[in-house]
Parts: sequence; structure tokens; C-alpha cells
Amino acid sequence: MAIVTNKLTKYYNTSVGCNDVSIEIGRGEIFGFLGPNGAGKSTVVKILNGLVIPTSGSAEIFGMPAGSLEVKKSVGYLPENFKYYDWLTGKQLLAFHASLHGMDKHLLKKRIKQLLKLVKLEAFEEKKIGTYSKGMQQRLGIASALLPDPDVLFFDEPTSALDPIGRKDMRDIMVDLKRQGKTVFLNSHLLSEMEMVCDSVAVIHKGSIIKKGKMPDILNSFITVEIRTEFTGDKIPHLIKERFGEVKLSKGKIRVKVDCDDDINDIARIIINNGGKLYGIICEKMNLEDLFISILEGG
Amino acid sequence: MMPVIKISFREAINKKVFLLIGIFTVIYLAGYALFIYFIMKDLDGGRIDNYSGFLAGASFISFVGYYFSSMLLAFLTIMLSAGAVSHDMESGIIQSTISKPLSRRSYILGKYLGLVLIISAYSIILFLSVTLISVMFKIPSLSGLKWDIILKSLLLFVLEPLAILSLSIFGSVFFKTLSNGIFLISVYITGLAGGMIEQIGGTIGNDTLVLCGIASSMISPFDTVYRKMIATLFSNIGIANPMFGIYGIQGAVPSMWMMAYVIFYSTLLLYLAVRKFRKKDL
Ligand SMILES: Nc1ncnc2c1ncn2[C@@H]1O[C@H](COP(=O)(O)OP(=O)(O)OP(=O)(O)O)[C@@H](O)[C@H]1O
Ligand SMILES: [Mg+2]
Repeated sequence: MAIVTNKLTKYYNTSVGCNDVSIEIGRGEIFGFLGPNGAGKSTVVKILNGLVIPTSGSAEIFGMPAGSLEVKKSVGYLPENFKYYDWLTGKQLLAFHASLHGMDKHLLKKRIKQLLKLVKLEAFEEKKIGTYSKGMQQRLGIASALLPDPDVLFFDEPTSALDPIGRKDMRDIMVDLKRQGKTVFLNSHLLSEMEMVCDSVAVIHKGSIIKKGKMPDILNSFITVEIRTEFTGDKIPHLIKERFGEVKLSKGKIRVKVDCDDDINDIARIIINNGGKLYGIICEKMNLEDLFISILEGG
Repeated sequence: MMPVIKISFREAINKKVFLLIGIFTVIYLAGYALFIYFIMKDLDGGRIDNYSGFLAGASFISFVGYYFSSMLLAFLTIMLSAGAVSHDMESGIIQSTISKPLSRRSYILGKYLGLVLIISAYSIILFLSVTLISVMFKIPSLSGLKWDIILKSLLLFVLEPLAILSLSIFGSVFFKTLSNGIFLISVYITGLAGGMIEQIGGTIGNDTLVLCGIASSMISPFDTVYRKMIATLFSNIGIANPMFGIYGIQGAVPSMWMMAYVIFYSTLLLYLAVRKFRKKDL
């Protein structure tokens, strides 16, 4: 395992940052962390980077305590509020960060050049950060996170300030990182993008994990079924409702959410056994966004 | 720690206030030189014919030079360092720094040492300039100065802002930048007032006042260092102690123990700053 947290809990003075968060992320995995605003995503990431001290619980990266000097050597982090000394140039900032990593002078120059090219800031490398746009600063932050060629990367909403091309670039960077066998921890609200790149996800709400798993399993765990049918009386909808909860009725159609493929069979049986006619079944697998909304609304 | 020392040093140099105070210092030194030039001409012109009066006047002038220099220095120190840590925390800059392989202790000490370098350099230049001007214009109280006295006074002159710096770093971990500025100025003024109270108490023989004064110089020992510096620098002139004048009374010279206390005080504050910072959520 690359990242393991064990009942990680953080209480701020007046609010709960996160509560009993236990997650495991395998090496080489891209992990997506989802949750509404204020759910506790950034809190967890900050704990994992040694910025926030947990109230209780523990976190390890490669078996060593998260936030320790040894671990920080092989970790890259783009904070949610990326902010840098505005009187430095982009190049100088990266040189400063590289020196914190104890990078060799010769190596450092080459690496900085390469990264500035990757995030498309070469033309601005000699300009003061104070003159950068928000998106340019975020790109610089991404470059800084990648600087030591770390094995684990934390990106806290890495595309919040990026234009559509920047977002695509970021996606490519993540796919490339995965190809290199790096572990990536991604906080984001852009669920369609997450769906494209993540191997596993966890959903956090009000500080607690309410759902976690591999991406395909999670997506398959919620299926909406639309049934074309004909029946008389209330019995059929009533029975389906009893078994599956929420049911939406419209002319000749029943829509219902089920958890697995076997449930579809059960619905068909209910309809036929109670004198209804079954004309068709359409299964809609949810995308991550629908899933997210239905988890949070359905509780 | 070295990268943080460097960045802290460069950050201070990049501040507008540094340039501003640099320009002001040049004007101040030029003004001071002119001031001395005219006064010495007057004094030499025989308007004061009693020699000890002349001596007192002349040393008072040079004393004024050091007095305002030390204030300027205190001001510069506060302006450069009040936000040393708090600004990085308020802006979020600290998140990208501390997440790099850097211990929290190294961060604080690096910030501190970077400022130590710049403030020491500035202090030394200021001290030597003021001393040079005084010597150039043949202020008698300073003309026969020995090197060891100059060196000792210089060390004390540098010690004062460095003690303020420790308090500032301490405050910067606990408070927001603006609050820290107010905190520092309050403590600094407490020390000035305490020094005065102590001396008045000493002169009129009021023990309570003396005690109050001592208590405030425990909290704010900066003025004490300054007084020690002046006493050391002017130790060769018995007749015209330059303490005479600014407070209107003869002051006691702070002991060497007091200087040891100042070093202990600075170290303790730094230690407390590191300790607090270790447990901070950033
Ligand atoms: N420094 C702090 N002091 C007090 N409470 C805090 C602090 N930082 C975060 N919180 C609280 O902790 C909770 C989780 O915040 P966090 O920033 O982790 O959320 P998030 O999931 O990252 O949200 P977002 O999507 O808006 O970035 C929130 O209720 C927030 O109010
Ligand atoms: Mg967040």
C-alpha cells in the first residue's frame, strides 16, 4: 500500500475537519477523493502532507508516518490555495523548492527547464510570480509538485484555475504519472474528469467516508432501470416500492434504482407474477456525477 | 535550513520598507553630520568657555546620534520581521514550503537567521557610520576610543535589534502580522518607559519605582542593552556621562548579568516559537 490512514480524525476549534477516515490506496493507483464543499477533503490531504496535526488516528505513506522528513522527500503536493512569493520569478521559486529537496545544482537546472515546458510556462520563467495569472500560478504549483520526481502526488483541486486546455494537459500529466507507476491522490469537483482517470474513489461527507471502492464497482453499484410496462391497479408499483424504495411512475413507465443485476430480474418477476405486461427494460449505469448526487441526496 | 536562510534574507531585501529605511538612513546620517559640524563650530568658537561644559555638550551630541540610530534599528527590525512567519501563514505560502522536506524547526530558525544576517549587517554599517562621523568631527569623548571598546559597543548595539527580532519571531508565530506589529511596539515602549521609571526611582530613592522599572525591563530588555552600549562606549569619560541629558538624571549602568539575561531571553523566545509552531495547523 502506498497510502494508509487509520481512523484519521481532526477536530478544529469549532468544527469537524474529518472523522474516522480510514482509506487505503495501492501503489500506482490514481485515487479520487470526492465530497461537497467543507466535507473534509483538504483536511485529509493536509494531514497527509504534515500541515495539519490530526486530533487522533494515524496516517502512513510507504509505511512511514505521513509528514515526516523521510516521507516528504518522495511526495509532491499542490495545495488548494497555491500561493508563492510574488517577488520571485517562476524559475527562482522552483529553484528554491528544489533546494529544499536538496537537489543537485546541475540536475536542478535541467529539471526546472523540463517542468516549465511541461506546464507551458517557459515564456514566463523570468517574470515575477506577482505578474502571473491565477492559472499560471496553479501551473507553477503543479511544476513544483512534480519537481523531485516523487512517487506519491497529492493534487488538491489541481484544475480549479485552469482553462479547458490546461485541464486536458493536467489529465495527460496524470495519465503519464500513472504510466510511470506513481501514486496520485486527487481532490476534485470535476467528476467527469475523475471518472476518466481514477482507479478508485472515496466519497466523504461531513467529515466521514460514506462510500469507497474501485471505480467500476462503484459505478456498477447504482443502476437506474427504466421499465416499459402495462398494468392495472396499485399493486405492482406498491410491491416494487416496498422492495426497492423510491419509484418514479409515468405513463407506461416505471423508473427505479437498483443495486445489482439480480435486482432487475426480481423486478421483472414482480411485474409478471402480478399480471402486468413487460415490454422492455433499459438499464442506465450511472456516471460518477449522478452517483455522487444520488449518494448525497439519498443519504 | 540554508535555503530558508537565503530566502528569508532575500525577502527582507525585497521589502519596500528596506529600501525606504536605507534612503532614510543616508539622509539621517548626512543630517547628523551637518548637525555635528555646525554645533562643533559653535562650541569651538568659544561661546562655551568652560571645558567640561564643552565636553558634556559634545558627547551629548554623539549620544543623540546613537539614540536615534538604535530607534531606527528597532523600527526596521519590527517592520522587517513582524510578518516573518505570520505572513507566510496568512497567505498560504507556508503550505508549499513546509510540505517540502524541511522540518518546522529549520523553517523557524532559517527565517530567524536570514533576518539576523540582514539586521546585523545593517546595524554594523549604521554603528560604524555614526561612530566615524563623530570621530571625523573630533568629538572629544570619542576621539580617544580604543578598538576593544568600539567592538564591545558594536556587539551590544547589534544585540538590541537581535533581541527584538527574537520577540518578533515569537509574536509572529502566535499572532497575525498586524497584531504582532502592535504587540512589538507596545513591548518596546514598555521597555523605554521602564528604563525611565527605574532611573527616576533610583534618583529619588523610591524602591517601588525601581522595582517596576526592573520588572518592565525583564519583559522588554531592549532599552537596557542600549544603555549598556552607551555606558560601554562612553566609559572613558567620567566627567560627562552622556546619560546625563536625555532623562535629565544620572542612570545606573546595567550589569553584565542583565546582558546574559537578554541572551537567555532571546533564546527562550525562539525556543517557545519553535515549540508552538510544531503544533500549528497550517
Ligand atoms: N483552519 C480551520 N479552522 C477551523 N475549521 C476549519 C479549518 N479548515 C477547515 N475547517 C473546517 O473543516 C471542514 C472541512 O474543511 P475542508 O477544507 O477539509 O473541506 P473540503 O472538503 O476541502 O472543501 P472544499 O471542497 O470547499 O475545498 C469544514 O467544515 C471547514 O469549515
Ligand atoms: Mg478543499
